[in-house]
Order: sequence, then C-alpha cells, then structure tokens
Amino acid sequence: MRLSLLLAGLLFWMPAAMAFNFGELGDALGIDPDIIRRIDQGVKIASALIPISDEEERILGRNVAGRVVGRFGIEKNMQQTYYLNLIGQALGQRSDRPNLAYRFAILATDDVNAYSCPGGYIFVTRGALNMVHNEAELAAVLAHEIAHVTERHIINALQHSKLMKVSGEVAADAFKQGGELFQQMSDFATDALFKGLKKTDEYASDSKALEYLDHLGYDYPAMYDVLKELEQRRKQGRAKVLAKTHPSPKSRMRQLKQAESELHLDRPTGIRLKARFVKHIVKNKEA
Amino acid sequence: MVRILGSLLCCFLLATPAWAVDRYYIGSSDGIDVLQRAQAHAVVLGHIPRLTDVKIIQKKRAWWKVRTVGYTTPEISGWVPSGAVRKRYRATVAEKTSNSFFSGLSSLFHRNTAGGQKTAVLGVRGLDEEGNAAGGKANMVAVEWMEGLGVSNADVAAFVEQGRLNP
Repeated sequence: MRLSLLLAGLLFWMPAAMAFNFGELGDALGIDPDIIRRIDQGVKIASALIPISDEEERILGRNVAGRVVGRFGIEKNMQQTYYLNLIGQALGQRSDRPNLAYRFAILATDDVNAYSCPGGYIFVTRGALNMVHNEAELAAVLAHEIAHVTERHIINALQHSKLMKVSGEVAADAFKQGGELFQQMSDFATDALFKGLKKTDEYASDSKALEYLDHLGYDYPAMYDVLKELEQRRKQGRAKVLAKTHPSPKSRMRQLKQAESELHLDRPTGIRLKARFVKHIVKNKEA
Repeated sequence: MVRILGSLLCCFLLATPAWAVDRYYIGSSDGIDVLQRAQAHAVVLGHIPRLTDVKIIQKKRAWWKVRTVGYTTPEISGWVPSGAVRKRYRATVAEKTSNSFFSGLSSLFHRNTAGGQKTAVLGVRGLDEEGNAAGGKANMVAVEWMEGLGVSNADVAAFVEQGRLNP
C-alpha cells in the first residue's frame, strides 16, 4: 500500500523527483532500500530518454552549424556547393530519414574532414573535396555524414548526457526559448563534433554509407578508396585532425568488410562519374 | 483607455515574429511548385518562378506557407519547401529601430531561426548587426546563405537521371 502510494505520487511528481534523494524517503517510510534503488534507477532512465523531435533537432543543429562555420569559415562557391547539394540531397532522399531538409556546404579549411550537425546541416572541408577523385567518392563522404544524422548519433549522446536529466517540459522549453540550457546543449553537440563520436558510431555510419551508396546506384567500393586514401594521408601525417576524430581507416575498412557481407548489396555498378565531378568541382576551383 | 490600447499595441509588436515582416523570395533555380498541403505529394496549386517575392504566412517544420507579393504574377498561396525560399534582405538592428521602436527592441533580445523559433541572446552589448554576439564563434549569416541554396526535387531528379543513377 505504502509502495503503491509512493509510486502514484512519483507519477505526478516526476520532474522534481529527478533531483530527489529517494534513500531518505525510503528510510522515512520504512521501504526496502532495494526497491527504492530500483525506483531511483527507473527515474534516471526515464529522464535520459526525453524525446527530441525533428524540429528541435533542426533548431539545435542550426545553432551548431553556425559555430562550425564560425570556426572554419564557409566557401561561397555557388557551383561547387550546388553540386554538393545535388549529390547530398539525392542520397538523403534515399536514406532512413528522407523527410529531413539536408543542407550541404564547404568549409574553408585544407584539413581533410567532414562534419554533420543534427538536423541535416552537413559540411565537407575544402581539403576533403580536393582529396576525392570522382563523384562516387564524394558521395561516399557525404553518405557517411548523412548516416550520422539518420542514426542520430549526436542526439543520442545528448539524450544520455547529464544535460538531459531535466523534465521533458524544461527540455522542450529550452528548444523553444533558447537560453542557457539550449546553449549548453549546443556546446555539447559542438564538442562531440570536434572531439569525435564513439568508434562504434563511426563504424555504423560507414556501413550505412555503403547502403545509401548502393540505394542510389553509386559504385559503393568508392567508400574503400576514400578510406585507402585517408590511410595513405594518415601515414604521411597529412590527416591529423581526422585521425583525432575518427578510428584508423584500416580498422574502418576491416569493419566495413564485415558489414558488407551482412548488407546483401547489389553488385557494384561501376558508376563513379569522374567527368561530372571534374566539371563541377575541379573546373570551378577558385584561385 | 489609451494606456490599455497602447499596452495591447506593444504586446502585438513584441510578439510579431520577424519572418512575418521580413521580405523573402523564391531562390530555387527553376522556381518552385506550390502545394496545397505541407507534403511532398500534395496537390500542386501552381508554380512560382524564381526570384518572385513572397510573404511567409505560416511555418510547419521544413515547409513554409507562402503567398506571392507584387503585381507581376497572379497571387498564389500554398506550401513550399523552406529551402526554396530566400530572405530578400535582413534589416539591421538600426533599421529595425528606425522602422519600429518596439520591433527593434524585440529584435535586440531575440534572434530568429529559420524555423521561426526565437533564440534568446544574452545581452545587447557586443551584438553585431545580425544579432550574433560580436567576436563570438557562431556565423549564422553563413548558415542562412547555406539554407538559401534552393535545390528542388526536380533538380535532384534530373541530376540522378543524368548520372544514370537509381531513380
């Protein structure tokens, strides 16, 4: 009876309950400490799974995108960016979240890297653009970043962070009104981008990328070529930033090979579209 | 009575979202089809050519309800993907203050996102003309540029077809 009263009370009292010391309450009511521990854990789990809607994700991602651009600057090369958007949106439409408004841009840095902010704001560095040799390889880079968005890697990390140990109302309000909590969430997401995601997230994005390339009909082995090129650059010490934020290309290739066997992909199409890549990217390079 | 009316007017001006007063136009390369509902497969009501001025009536996730402005085209109203719409110009804080004291005041404390959501900024000192913290890291102007690059579904479909990729 006392336990059911306690549980009923908690349902109405969830937000405040997150910061409450259940041990003391249990002692006062004479309830088994083990039961109290389980309730405490349950509340913590519930608080970690506050849903973040697509629109809230986009608002957060937009703010993070502003910080990414603020750090590196953006290349306002219309032809190249438009081309990037065509490839990216074609992939996005065939991804697991086809209704997101994916947007792509080029960051003005020679570091080889790419970043995906929640909600579909995706960046490729000028260095990465100069590294790839054809459209399929560029699509592989974009598909990997799209996969981080479709798999909600940053959002998942945020949902399990201490920041989200607040009530659903407080979190929703932060997205609507901005304020300190929203800025802290943006700080968290930006940090995750710059410091790197979990290795497992990177491997998962590689596998998804392979799937998206296959859906659209690009020659998916292009993904391996990008990783080989990265490995070569890593050996030469030319991909230092990427090396900090991603697992080694060798381990990624190993994982990818394993995933490929489980994906039941079609036979490689051989579509690399080098001429189109040269026309839109190489010939539109700004001095 | 005058005070009550004045207060109501203040509340109205402070509550008006900036996207309702800013000017926008269709930026996608071959214009955009206007849909009856905010869905990709909704009934097409008409077509708005590129560079036509539009007014935003409502926002619903990545879809914006727009109405054409001006005399060059027959008036059309309906839903378009937000990526097809570009901001014609963004009034600086100074311009907004000169246009309307209250809306200017409102804009000092709020920064609008593309979704029409307002993001509170921490203070007035140090804000640049776009409402970002001066010297801060965020570059929302560049993000707006990125959002303004309208790539229509038709563009993407043509691109896929040209590359002989899977439709």
